[in-house]
Amino acid sequence: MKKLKKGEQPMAWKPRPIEPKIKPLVDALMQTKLLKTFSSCQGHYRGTDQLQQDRNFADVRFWKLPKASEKELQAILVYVVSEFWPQKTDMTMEAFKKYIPSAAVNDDPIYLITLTPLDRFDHPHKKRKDTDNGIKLATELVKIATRLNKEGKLVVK
Amino acid sequence: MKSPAKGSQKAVPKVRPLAQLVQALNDTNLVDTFSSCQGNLEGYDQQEMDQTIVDIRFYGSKMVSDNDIQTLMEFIITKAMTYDLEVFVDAYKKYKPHQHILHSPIYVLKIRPCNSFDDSLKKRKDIDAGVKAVTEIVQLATKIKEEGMRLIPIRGGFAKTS
Repeated sequence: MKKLKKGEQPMAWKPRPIEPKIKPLVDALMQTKLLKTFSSCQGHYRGTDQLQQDRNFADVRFWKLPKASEKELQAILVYVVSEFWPQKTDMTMEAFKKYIPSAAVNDDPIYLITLTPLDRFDHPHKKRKDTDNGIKLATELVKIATRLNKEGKLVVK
Repeated sequence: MKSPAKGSQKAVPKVRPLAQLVQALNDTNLVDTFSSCQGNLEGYDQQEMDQTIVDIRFYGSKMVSDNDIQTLMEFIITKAMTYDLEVFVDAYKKYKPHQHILHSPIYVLKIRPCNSFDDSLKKRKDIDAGVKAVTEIVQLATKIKEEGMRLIPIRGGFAKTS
């Protein structure tokens, strides 16, 4: 067993840099000024990348900022999934609000956007390429949604 | 189908625990389920989309607030943590594209094995245990509601109030 150094905490969580392929989407989401991202994954498709939990999709997770309205955030997420849906891509995009157990240290619900290849039997290279295109498209849509929201043109249903 | 031998017990159709969970969710009178999957784990079951998780989808019932459903979902996932399970229980509200005919948000309950590398028999066993535990939790929530009590989320758990 690894011997801990003086002052080192067991199982210490160390922040890692944002993965490069998902960073544009993370940056675009932060620009909405409605949320704070805390976790992201660009998707890992090679056999050697696989861990106990499924990593075959890209995702970004975030909290709503206290001053932001949930309806406004919901409008942006619905806009992005609605505009992504008719596009001819080999990806599916989904947006969720995830409920958190009351026993958690921070039990505020979190939000997430996921981008998943339509066919998981595709070659890892194709899935990587499709995911990169999906991230690019999602980034553009988030930027448009942000602009529309600032102009007061985003319909909140 | 092979008929049971004379004198043997009549074959009882095996009902997967998922049917009971779906029934328990509908019995809360808070949600209306419309889709469910018990998780298909064998190699020959696999399709383009991942099917190795239990997935139940539902709408909120009429006159039920989003907050009531959120409380139910949080109660389920909080209680599930107290069980010794080898599955994750996750609950979501899913935002749908506005082009969909029914474009209101839907709710999703997912139960997935902790380790995707486990063999399919172990995953089946773990998932069935998870579904059984979640069914008990949902039935408990219904019982609390029938007693005229309400669940209130508090730091670290839930409290009952009349």
